[in-house]
Amino acid sequence: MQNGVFLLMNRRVRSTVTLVVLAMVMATAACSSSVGSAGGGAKFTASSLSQVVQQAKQEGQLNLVWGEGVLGGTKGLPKLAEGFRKHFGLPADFKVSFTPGPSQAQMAASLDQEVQAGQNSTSDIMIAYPAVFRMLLGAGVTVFKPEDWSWATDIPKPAVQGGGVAVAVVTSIPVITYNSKKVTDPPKSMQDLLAPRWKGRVASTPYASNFPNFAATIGQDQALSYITAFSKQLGGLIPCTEDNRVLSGEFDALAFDCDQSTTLENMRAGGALRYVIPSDAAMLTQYMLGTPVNSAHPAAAQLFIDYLMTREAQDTLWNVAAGDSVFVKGSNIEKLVAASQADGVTFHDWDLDAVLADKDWPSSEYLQNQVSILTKTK
Amino acid sequence: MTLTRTPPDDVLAAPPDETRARRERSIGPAGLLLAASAVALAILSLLGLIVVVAFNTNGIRGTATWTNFHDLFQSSFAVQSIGNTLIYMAVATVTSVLIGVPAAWIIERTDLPGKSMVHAFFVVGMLIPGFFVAMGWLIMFHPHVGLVNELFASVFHTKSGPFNVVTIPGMGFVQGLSLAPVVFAMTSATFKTMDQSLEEAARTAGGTFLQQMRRVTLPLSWPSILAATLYVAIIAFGAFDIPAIIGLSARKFTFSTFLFYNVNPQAGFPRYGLVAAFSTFMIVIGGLLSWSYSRVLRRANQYRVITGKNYKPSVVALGRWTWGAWAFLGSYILIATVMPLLGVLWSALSPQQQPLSVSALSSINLDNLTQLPWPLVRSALLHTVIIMLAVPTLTLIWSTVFSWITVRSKYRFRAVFDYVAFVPHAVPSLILGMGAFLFSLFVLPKSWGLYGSLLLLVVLMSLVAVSFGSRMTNSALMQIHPELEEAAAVSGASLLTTFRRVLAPLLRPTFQNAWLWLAVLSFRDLTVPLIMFSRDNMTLSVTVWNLWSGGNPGQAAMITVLMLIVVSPLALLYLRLSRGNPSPQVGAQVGKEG
Repeated sequence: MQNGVFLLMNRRVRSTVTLVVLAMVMATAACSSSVGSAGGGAKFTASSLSQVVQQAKQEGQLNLVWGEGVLGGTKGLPKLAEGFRKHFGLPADFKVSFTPGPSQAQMAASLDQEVQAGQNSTSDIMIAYPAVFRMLLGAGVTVFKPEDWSWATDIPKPAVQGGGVAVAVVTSIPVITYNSKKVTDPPKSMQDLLAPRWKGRVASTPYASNFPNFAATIGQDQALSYITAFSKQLGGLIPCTEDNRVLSGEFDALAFDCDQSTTLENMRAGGALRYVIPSDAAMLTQYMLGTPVNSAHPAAAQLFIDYLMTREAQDTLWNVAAGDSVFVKGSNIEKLVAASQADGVTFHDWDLDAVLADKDWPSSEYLQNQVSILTKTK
Repeated sequence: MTLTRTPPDDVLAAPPDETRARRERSIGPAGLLLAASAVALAILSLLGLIVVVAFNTNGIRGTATWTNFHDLFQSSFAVQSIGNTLIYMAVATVTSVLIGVPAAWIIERTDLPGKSMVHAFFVVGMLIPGFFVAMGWLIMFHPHVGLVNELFASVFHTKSGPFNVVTIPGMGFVQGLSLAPVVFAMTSATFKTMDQSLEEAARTAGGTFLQQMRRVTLPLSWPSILAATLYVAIIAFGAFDIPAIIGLSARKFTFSTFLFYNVNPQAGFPRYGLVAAFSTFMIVIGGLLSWSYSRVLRRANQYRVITGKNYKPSVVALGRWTWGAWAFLGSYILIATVMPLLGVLWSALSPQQQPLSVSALSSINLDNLTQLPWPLVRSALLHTVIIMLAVPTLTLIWSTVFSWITVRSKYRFRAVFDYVAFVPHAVPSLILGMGAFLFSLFVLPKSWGLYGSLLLLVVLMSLVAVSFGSRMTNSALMQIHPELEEAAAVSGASLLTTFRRVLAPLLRPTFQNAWLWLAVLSFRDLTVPLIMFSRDNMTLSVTVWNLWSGGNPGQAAMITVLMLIVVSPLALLYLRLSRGNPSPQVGAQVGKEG
């Protein structure tokens, strides 16, 4: 029908219509970019919660990009966004958009480049482990500035770390995840995974998740020897979020899994995944959230971080991502940690403050070497 | 009585002032040259930036250095990736030729019943995204959890199945399967138009069928086969989808995944210098392959045997070989299209990855559809639709300009434009993508807001597609005699009017086919959108990639299935417009004018 109408037009009109349509398409393509907010990030100063809320309202939106498996991803973020709007009385048209993105390391690399080039950050909030934050803070480019979080009444002081550059929102326990249907004698330590029976059956992560903490815990030389032997055992590399490949039987185990969250979610659903806290690498770490200096919506970003530390948001996080923070009273992860400690487990706590304070923390070259050995990209 | 009458003054006079003024205002050859130069400059600038980065200590801001090349030669990872790439390219090329050439011969030269259906399958095969095939093959033929391997193991009571796609030759084979339709399209025109008299002469002289094939048919079609071989080798050389989906988690790297890995490292910062040094070599190799390709095409003219007068294509009666031909083609369709489709469908409908069983069948549902992140999908769909509309249109405008300069103009260096237009095919699009990414990040003014924008992605994808578009428009323009345009010019028409009133109607079938074809290619592209990925330009293919690599294969598979459903009407429309015969458009035209 429409085609018929189009054919009825004379040639000149058709040409004009075609050109107009093309122009509209190109204009839409051009408008899809964030031209309006390009720049080195809006300036943001506030001394009270109401001021931050006001500024966030003026900003009108929040753009979040991180891995699909972090903080509930595409399933969890809409729930958090809804709670966020309600909690602070933000208008219904306040837009919180989440886009699944690459790994923490890749996002960190993009962020560093964007700051250098004077572009807005892809995500208004950077979420990463302390090791990645340390790398960014030591890269010679100012990616984060210490922020004054005194207005953020929901954030417990110990959660604000690195002098205010980031907030510890979710606590992680690095674990070995395994398929209980295929593994009758689960490993108890990382050392166990070097046994011949695990050859080709164990997976690790392409970004060497938690191996920096491991090196800081057991010593760099020992960790390097371990990772060299462990690399030969590997059947493949999968992101932490791909626990389902352990569940499907492609691999029998994943080590280190980033944390306990996806395994716990699977256990809730009656799945066959289980985890162990390796006896030779019992560690705690934190998902740190910070606002980059080139964030286009810094007030909204900081307000969202504040919201994530509320009881309500922590409950949502536990429901959608099986994770919450030891810094928030009554958290589920605190109970898990306490139960493990009661069983005699002693955790090495690698939060951002600990990582920044550790003079023997592995260098960037060392960490790259770890990844190269695991990924066979040396 | 002879009436002699002087023609009226207005006939003899020069065109009226208004017409002359309009002609002067209109775009002339110089304007087209300027436009073509701008596009050519954009393509060369992207490559130039890569070369600059290769010789720089810190992107484009450091000092001149050879260090990147030194690091490259010291890197066993790089050397291993080159070796893998060569094996991958060889297996992919051999597989695609061994399937595509016999298939083209069977379809074009035999009386195989139902061959139009097979023909349609081959055309559709070209439209299926590489990542779809890779996902399907991984689901079916993974050594541990592939459905086929599990079925094999359960039937024959073995520990595991015999197939392993997670190897470099395995990935090459999958790539070859997806490239076979391209070889088919590029060689079928040769078989279709081959004169039977030479083959008849061979038969008359007592030659057997095999002798006739070996001594007459294959030598005559050899240039076309060689051209197709080089063409697919270039594609396989820079292919990204299949090595990324299958190879990355197994630590099997080819050139493209090496490049992607170093631009998006898992620790530390992007190693642009190393990647650029590697890419500089690849630009040279790509250039050599393209040069060989163009030489082969030039020599192909010597093999033309169609006389026009007695031309009549012969049909070989297959007789008892009909079943053999069907088994060959059917097997291909089964393993290249049907099985990956079933694999992806299974993954899309399964609540979790699980082996095929009766209990698993009872658990299938539409959860992956209902739980899709719809706001994200809608946004990605909008971006994809914009790309599908804008990229073919821009590409055809630029391609036509390039073709006019190459085919019609008398400019001294017009051949350079044709070569530049082919560069995006010779150079892996990942390299051009990286060039555009760096350009937007470090060179273009920040106030333009092009970094991470959909507009930049559209422009880049159009530049990449010019290599294909210009082959189509070159060929079509060559078939139109310049007399028509000369007549229009004598009548006072400007170049733009001539194009609008004379050329455009004649070129319309080519434009229609090329536009649709480019729209589908834009729709399925993963490589360029992925390297240019941002929140503002995320396409459906990148959404699939992010969900797949983020641990959500079920939803990734579901979106892939939806993508196929969306693209199917376009494929059918294409088949209808090309009357089920795409070879002159996508094969021969791509090939002959290369």
